[in-house]
Amino acid sequence: MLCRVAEDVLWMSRYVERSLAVGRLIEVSQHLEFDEHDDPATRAARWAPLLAPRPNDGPLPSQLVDVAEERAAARTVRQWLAFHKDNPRSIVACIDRARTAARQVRERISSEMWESLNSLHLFLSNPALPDVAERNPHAFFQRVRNEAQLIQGLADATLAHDECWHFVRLGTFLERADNVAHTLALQAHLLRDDGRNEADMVRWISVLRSCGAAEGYARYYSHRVEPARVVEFLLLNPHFPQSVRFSLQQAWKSLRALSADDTPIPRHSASAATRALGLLSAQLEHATVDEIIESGLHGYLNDVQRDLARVTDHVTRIYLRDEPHEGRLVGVARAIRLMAEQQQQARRES
Amino acid sequence: MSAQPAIEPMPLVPSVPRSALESYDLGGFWDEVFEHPGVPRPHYVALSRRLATLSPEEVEARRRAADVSFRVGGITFAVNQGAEGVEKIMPFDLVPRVIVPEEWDRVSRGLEQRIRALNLFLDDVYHGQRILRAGVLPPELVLGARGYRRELRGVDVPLGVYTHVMGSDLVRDASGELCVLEDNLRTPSGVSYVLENRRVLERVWPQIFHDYDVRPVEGYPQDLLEVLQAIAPPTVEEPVVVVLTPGVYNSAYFEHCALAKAMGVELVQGSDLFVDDGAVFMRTTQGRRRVDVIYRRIDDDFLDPLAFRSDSMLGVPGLLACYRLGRVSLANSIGTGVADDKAVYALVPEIIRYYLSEEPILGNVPTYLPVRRDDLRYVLAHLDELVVKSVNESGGYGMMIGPHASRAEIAEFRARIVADPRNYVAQPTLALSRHPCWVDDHLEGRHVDLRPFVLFGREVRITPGGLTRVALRSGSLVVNSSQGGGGKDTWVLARPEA
Repeated sequence: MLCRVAEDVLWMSRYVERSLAVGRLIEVSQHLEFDEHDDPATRAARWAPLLAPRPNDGPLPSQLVDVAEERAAARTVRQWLAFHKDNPRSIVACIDRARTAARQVRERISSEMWESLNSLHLFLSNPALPDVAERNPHAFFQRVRNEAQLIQGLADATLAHDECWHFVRLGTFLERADNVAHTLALQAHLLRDDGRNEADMVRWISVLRSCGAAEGYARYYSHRVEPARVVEFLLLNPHFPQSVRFSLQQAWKSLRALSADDTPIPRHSASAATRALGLLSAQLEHATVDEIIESGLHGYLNDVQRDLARVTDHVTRIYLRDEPHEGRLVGVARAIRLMAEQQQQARRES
Repeated sequence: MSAQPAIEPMPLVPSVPRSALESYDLGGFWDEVFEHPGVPRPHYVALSRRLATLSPEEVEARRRAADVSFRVGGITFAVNQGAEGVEKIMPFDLVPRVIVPEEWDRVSRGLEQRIRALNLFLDDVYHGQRILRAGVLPPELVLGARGYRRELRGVDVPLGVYTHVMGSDLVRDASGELCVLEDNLRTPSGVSYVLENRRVLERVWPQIFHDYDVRPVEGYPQDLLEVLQAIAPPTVEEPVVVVLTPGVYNSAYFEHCALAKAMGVELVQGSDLFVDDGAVFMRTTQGRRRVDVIYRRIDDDFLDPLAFRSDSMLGVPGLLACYRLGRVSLANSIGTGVADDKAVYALVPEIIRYYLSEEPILGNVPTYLPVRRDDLRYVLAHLDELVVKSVNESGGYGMMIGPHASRAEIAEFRARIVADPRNYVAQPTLALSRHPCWVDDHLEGRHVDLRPFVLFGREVRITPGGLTRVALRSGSLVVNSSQGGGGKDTWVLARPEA
């Protein structure tokens, strides 16, 4: 498989997974507004954390900085998170990037995947959509979620479970582990309270919902929602597909499958990625929630996210940039020249 | 949804439903469907009966379904608009074009003859140059062609075949005979629309296939793959084939993907390939992998920055050297542009006679070469009647249609022809045949051409039909998709009559 293609497949799948995470976060926060009958101050407190920058994010545009300060205008935040093209993590931006990556590799993925992703992209490019989504948020977010999950399901059902599929899985699960860790980190401060009042409980349920894990939790524990158990479930559960541990295991499996192929050239460094991921995965496998909370949940989650970023770096270096050449993130000038040459070719194609 | 067919001002809306064909006007042109007003040709009887009974709502619904199908499939081409890569769908007309077996037989024999003669010509001009020494063709015309690559002199190509894929444009002359308007021997595009137009029409309007026995087109990618495997360097047992694309901003990118996918081969860009020790490799997740055959959709000029344009970022440095050594095969070969040069085109009948000792089965459009003094005088005196084309451009660029041109344009082309007569050819303005197309709620005649696709490896294989391109603007003669043209499904019938 071409390195360039593998890289695009990986990122296509990461962006699809990311759009799911972002969508759930928005939806759940919106729900909380209704559940808690927010006054303006708490309302802003609810939305502000969602604006917390992630690594590599640029600074917030001024209208949002104001929002965070003025503690108002939840709608502006929602629109930023869901639709704004300047926000690299907005749903629209994620699907746009996923589609751009898919377009580069559409001969490699299945037509079903490409067509689903393309129709989701077409659906999201309707300029009237932000208003529609405000009027009927549930229908909107449900549709986006269903279609994104359809793409993931199609990857399992229509691709041969070979190299390309493993890159899809790797992308999905690395992204998921990262997102769940991030969502938990956003709520880690709640653990400082006694966690027994009604408002906190609603919040912890909402954390589960943001990770699509409320039903799974209920079935697994069949017990009232308790902060430590929520952390345990989302971080350490070995069977639930949204947990960090489960995601890491799946990612590790795919990575091992990728490196176990007969390679004509032995690449000792291949093990660096597998080793880093295996180590992280094993760590979660043998951790207990009490120890984690005792040692500091926030710090622990930060470490997990840092290690995940390292794994991504290893994968990129070892599998996707086989030989030193200019990366896929080309400079603006180079991109413009490439475009012009490709179009010039169009004039020559008869 | 953009890219709706151009819409004419609507006539008075009749209060009673009427047949979409009721006021169909032949306009004095050779019509593909009607022999005389109201009298369809025998092979169009069943189709026109169906067309007459359709309600406008039904047509609209099917047309919309077709648009959605193209849109969702991402079957789009990028339009040249600076750095903004706008994706458009090619307008698709629902009414298929029908070709009877006898006519197709003549066309395919004519195309086979043509591709064989042109390959012998290419082999000759890059080897002994007998045709030049025999004085059949003027050497300066051939060796001075922009597409002639002296780097290829003396290079033997696999099977002696240079043009593995040919897309020739056919039009009807005034008598209704199909003849060749131009040959495309470099990187002809459009075959994916042959496949997609059929797939979409079957999807949105399956009923019309009931009346006819239509020959399938979907074998094309397999045929192409066979050709590509056949031309691999002879020492290779299981050749690795790739499709080389300029990238997503190229207007034919969809086609490159579709072909790579249907053949099950990698779609690569120049940066995915590199040359080492006289061989071509691609960068894969499992290390380097040898590449044996490249179906390249990049022009010669951009193919190898070490040999041709040094500023090309699309090509592969060192590729030409590997090719000359026979370590990698290219389809089409380098240097085929000399055989579809528009001035050389005028001499193809001579080329056929010289190499095959046969009369051309398919005629040429009369062509004036201003490089000849008599022709120049005639061309300059009749610019307002002629179509003038630059010999090196395609896709409807660099041309002037005399009867539709302004005084200023004519003056400009006059100056350009005088300055560089070798660079231009002129042809009489053709009355291209017309075919009914949906315009609002009724059918109107629009000019069409036909681009069949011819494959040549161990043998010649021609996909039945080809791409029928339609000039959707009323009265327009330009069918190129970059100039607002659309497409139709094209049926070659398996049996003489429907």
